[in-house]
Amino acid sequence: MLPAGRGRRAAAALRAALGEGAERRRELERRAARSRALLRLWDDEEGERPQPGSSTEHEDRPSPKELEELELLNRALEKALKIRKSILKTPLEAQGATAQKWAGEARAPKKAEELQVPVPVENVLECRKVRAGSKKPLLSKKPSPFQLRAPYRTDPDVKKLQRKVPARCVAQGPRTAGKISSKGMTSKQGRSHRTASGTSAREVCAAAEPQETLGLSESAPNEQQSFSGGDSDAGTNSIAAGKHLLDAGKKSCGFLGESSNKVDTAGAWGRSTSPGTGTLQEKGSQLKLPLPYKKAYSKNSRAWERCRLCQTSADAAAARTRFMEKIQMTFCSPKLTPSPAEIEEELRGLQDVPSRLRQYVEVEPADPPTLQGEYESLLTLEGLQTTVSQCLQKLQLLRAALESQLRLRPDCTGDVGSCSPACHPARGQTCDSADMLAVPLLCYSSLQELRDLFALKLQVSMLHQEIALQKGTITGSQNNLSWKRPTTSQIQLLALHRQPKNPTLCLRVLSKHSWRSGSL
Amino acid sequence: MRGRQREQLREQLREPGPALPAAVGALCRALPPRARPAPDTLRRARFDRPQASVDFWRLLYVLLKQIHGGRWTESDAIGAQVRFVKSALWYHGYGRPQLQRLPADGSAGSRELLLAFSWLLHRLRLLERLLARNRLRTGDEASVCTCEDELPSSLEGAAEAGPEDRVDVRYLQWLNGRLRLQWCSLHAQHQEQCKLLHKIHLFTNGSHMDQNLGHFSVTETDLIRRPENYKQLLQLLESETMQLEAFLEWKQLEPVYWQWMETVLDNMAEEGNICESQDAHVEKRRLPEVTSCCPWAEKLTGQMDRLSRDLMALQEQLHQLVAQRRAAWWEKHRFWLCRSRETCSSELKRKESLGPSDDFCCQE
Repeated sequence: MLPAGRGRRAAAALRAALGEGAERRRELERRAARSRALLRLWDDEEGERPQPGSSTEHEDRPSPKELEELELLNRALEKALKIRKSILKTPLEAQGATAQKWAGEARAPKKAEELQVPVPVENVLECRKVRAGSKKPLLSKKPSPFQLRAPYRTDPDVKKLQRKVPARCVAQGPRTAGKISSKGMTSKQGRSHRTASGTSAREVCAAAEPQETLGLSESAPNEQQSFSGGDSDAGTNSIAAGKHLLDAGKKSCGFLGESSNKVDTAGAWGRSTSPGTGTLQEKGSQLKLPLPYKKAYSKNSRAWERCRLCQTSADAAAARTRFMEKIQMTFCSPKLTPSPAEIEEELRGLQDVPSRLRQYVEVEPADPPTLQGEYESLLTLEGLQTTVSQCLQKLQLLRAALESQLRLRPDCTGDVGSCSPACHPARGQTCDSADMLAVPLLCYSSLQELRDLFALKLQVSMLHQEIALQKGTITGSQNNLSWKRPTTSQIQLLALHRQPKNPTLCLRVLSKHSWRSGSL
Repeated sequence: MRGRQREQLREQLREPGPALPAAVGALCRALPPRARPAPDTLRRARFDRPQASVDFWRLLYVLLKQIHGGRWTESDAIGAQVRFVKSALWYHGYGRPQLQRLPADGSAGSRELLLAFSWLLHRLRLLERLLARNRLRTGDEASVCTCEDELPSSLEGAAEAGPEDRVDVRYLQWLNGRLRLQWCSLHAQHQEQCKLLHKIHLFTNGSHMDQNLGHFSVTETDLIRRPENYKQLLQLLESETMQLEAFLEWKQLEPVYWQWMETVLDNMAEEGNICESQDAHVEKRRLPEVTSCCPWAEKLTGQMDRLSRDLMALQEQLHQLVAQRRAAWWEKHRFWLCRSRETCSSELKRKESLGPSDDFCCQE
């Protein structure tokens, strides 16, 4: 049990996050429905199809059925682990034991992973009988995960289960692993923890189990059989449970993949129906916008272009500067101290400096081989030292500026929260680009690019949320929840993207057959 | 020539020229529809008419709320509006003390507000920012913003008191699992949406009259299919065009406006000179202590503290590392350096004994 306050906060934060996610899903579903309607038969008047939305979104507690299933799974897992321990204790069957052990371990972390591997699991069963006369001490060896041994004969092949994978929910997601798979167990992590101790495997398992039960509840009911049956041999049972989990994984994948399949069928309709009925695919290139809209649109875009190119005249600039200077003289502090907005902005810029500098320090080799290398390394470190002290100085200045600004702060007795505009910091202010009136075009040339864009954006949002959750709730409970801390590369992604400082411009996404960089 | 002299004379006499109403009118029309003042309001404010004050507070309130992305309604109380505007102006660095002294019921101070408005106009690039923010979206858009604008406040500030005292960690794990599942579903949804979008773009390629774009967006395709649903879009498009044209007109007439504002400021300076200097001293003594009840300031101070802790730890680490490396460097190469020095000096001695012919040594 977690300490009360922390646990409650964590639960509340998670619930809030779930609420936000549900909102996003609804919004996305609305947009998708609109697009789908366009791709159907052009004159199709039928209403929206019922959505396969998950009804479990709105519950705050797992349903009793889910709890039951969770209990059963826990029991099965405990049995499997008991067996493993007991087997380990008998050194005579060392080799047989290792087979079991690997099998046991394989079962533990495998669940959320592969779609197409019921086969190796069955072969684990086989290997207990075959017991290939492998004299290798399997325990001490750490086989490379990429190695594919002779087909499914020897135990360590069970490692294949830890293949890289998008989380089971993504049926047709991009092949590039590590996008959302990082959310669950990444392949890399999975491999590195492959020989992890039983306890960590258990944790990981426990964490993923709730996921499983949800998947199970959504899938067809034939799973009930596997639970009630086969209790004779705990080993078999756990294997069956394991296999079943994989199947469930497949099913829920398929389930979620259904919605994406719908599009294909819609397209298929289009292709199969006779030419006269008309779908977007057929008529698309001959469509014409209605005349009034066309006129309005072209007027509008011309006006935007003129505004964008419009410059401030010299007279205006001079008159304006004079006014601004005069009014500045009447301020409380006529000389330019950073405004609270600027202070906040500067601070935001400094936020990731320590972590980036630390990365640079870590990158420096501990013992450079050559004289030259040593010297350069030393220079780099000294340079970093200078940077750090400069940052500290800047921080001092900002602190002083903040204090002086706070002294001038208007009295805000009463509801401080509502009156402070800093609670809703000016969006777009921090991302001040010179050309506010331009809307860059993003031209993409293939569907894959578009997908990658959205997948990455989603990943960034997800990481932001994780960071916020971790900041808000905890320190000690992290391990229990087995949240994955963003790896270095992910942090770099964030930092890298933050630099250009023009993020709130909206882009128009187009399709072009040749890649055009647009005016980004 | 005559006309020019007359113009200059008029300016000196501080009478507005004929271009001013046009400038003010253009300015008002270039503001977004829901925040559009009547040109009269500005004129009355110039003469510090109290009737214009409430309108002006409201104007600033709405404009600043839009900038900050906040919500506002028609029925927000004047007191709240005044507080918000004062706070926002402070936040952006507007430092005129007279503004902060204005009454909280919004009954006076239209001229001060006019000054503040003009200051914001330039400082925040009000017109451009609002135009960009309220831009009508007819296309399919994707932002590449990676800022944390995902309302983290809802996550960090969540401190509800649940009914149970203790929370089972498995419940948290379950919630966590659901969250992950949700992200997976979102991902799948996004991917589907990409496919749909791509199809629509592909199928309508070649139809758009704008060659740069080439294909229709979802909105436009829907517009073709069901034009009756989009009458409002057309109206909005037209009104936006008018706003843009007003903006262009304003840019032409800008100098007039700023000159006018300068005269307003000068007038105020003359009038206020006598009494202000007395108030100023009183004012300074009244300065309140740094209020600790400001959550924003606390957040910022917290960030600063954390940052300085991290930086100092890093500084310490670097200090040690550099000292270590330097020591190692000298240790390693001292021998070599000494040796080379010895060699050099022995060479010197040898050469001296031989003769001063070659001096290739000591060329470090």
